[in-house]
Amino acid sequence: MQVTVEYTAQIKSIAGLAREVIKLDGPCTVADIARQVASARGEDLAGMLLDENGQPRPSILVFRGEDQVRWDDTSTVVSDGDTITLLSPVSGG
Amino acid sequence: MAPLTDHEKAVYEWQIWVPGFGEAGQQALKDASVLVSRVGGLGSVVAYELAAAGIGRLVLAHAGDIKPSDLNRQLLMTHDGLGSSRVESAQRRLKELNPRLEIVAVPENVTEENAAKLVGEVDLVVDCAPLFPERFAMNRQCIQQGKPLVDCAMYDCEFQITTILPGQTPCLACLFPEDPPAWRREFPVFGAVSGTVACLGAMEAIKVLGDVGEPLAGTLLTCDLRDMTFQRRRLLKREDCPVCGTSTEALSK
Repeated sequence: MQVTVEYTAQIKSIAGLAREVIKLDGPCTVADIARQVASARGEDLAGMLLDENGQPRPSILVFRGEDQVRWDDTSTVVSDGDTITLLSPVSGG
Repeated sequence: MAPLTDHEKAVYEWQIWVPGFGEAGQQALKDASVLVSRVGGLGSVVAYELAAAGIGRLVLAHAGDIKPSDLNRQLLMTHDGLGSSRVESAQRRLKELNPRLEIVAVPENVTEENAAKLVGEVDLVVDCAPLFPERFAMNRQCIQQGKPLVDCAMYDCEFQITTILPGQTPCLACLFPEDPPAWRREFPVFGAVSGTVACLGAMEAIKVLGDVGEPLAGTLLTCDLRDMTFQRRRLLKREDCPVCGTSTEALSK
């Protein structure tokens, strides 16, 4: 199965692209997606998405389609064709 | 409060024509007070639009003097004002547009120390601040005092905006339970991007205060102006949120 992962703002700058399609071995959680792209795209992105224990940072918002998903939500399963958005925290100025 | 004058009815005629707004909505704006923190790229345009729309009173909080790097987006600042107070420049420009507007110019940024007083002086807050601790301080006070908070943010060609209604929607601490470690005060952005989200923020304030339309309650509008992608996203309330949560754990904090 495959899903589209979208990156925004600072995450997009570090990832170097706005979106990509990734292949998955099977159904997984949004946290699994974060770990997979962090592993594939190097330590700068990994440091932004994951804490020192490899857990997704709570200040990064994640959406499945239009709906926000909690990082610790294991009941929401990412399915083939889904779009997962990793939203970088931004501010005013 | 004083009723609309004939002059005010003439000035605001075109928006009084908006269905669902009318003279009652205009009177509500005249009676309203809004805190804008800060009056930079976002806050300058928020304040200008609210001044144009006939808000009765603006509290503007922003420390410091005008720098060259302000001038690509802080539209209440001018080249002639370089080195002088930002809030004084903002006050002067706003009064040129709307001499009826009451302005409280506070030459400070919002902090944990002054947030309660500043939020307590107004009916609604528009968060245009660059640092999360400022935003968290406003959020906490808005929740405690039951004041709506319009939260605007941007980066590069992107922006995010939501409206927080205490007791009804997720709050800023639901979204960001910690100070994001990677965020820095200075970042790339065009003035047209800050101006775009600022106009949306002003419209959210007008909608909430004037009781017209539907604000972005519990919804985050995200946009990338590089390809003009706009998306509405549904936000989750955090029951264990230490600021607005209703769980036993949250209430005990």
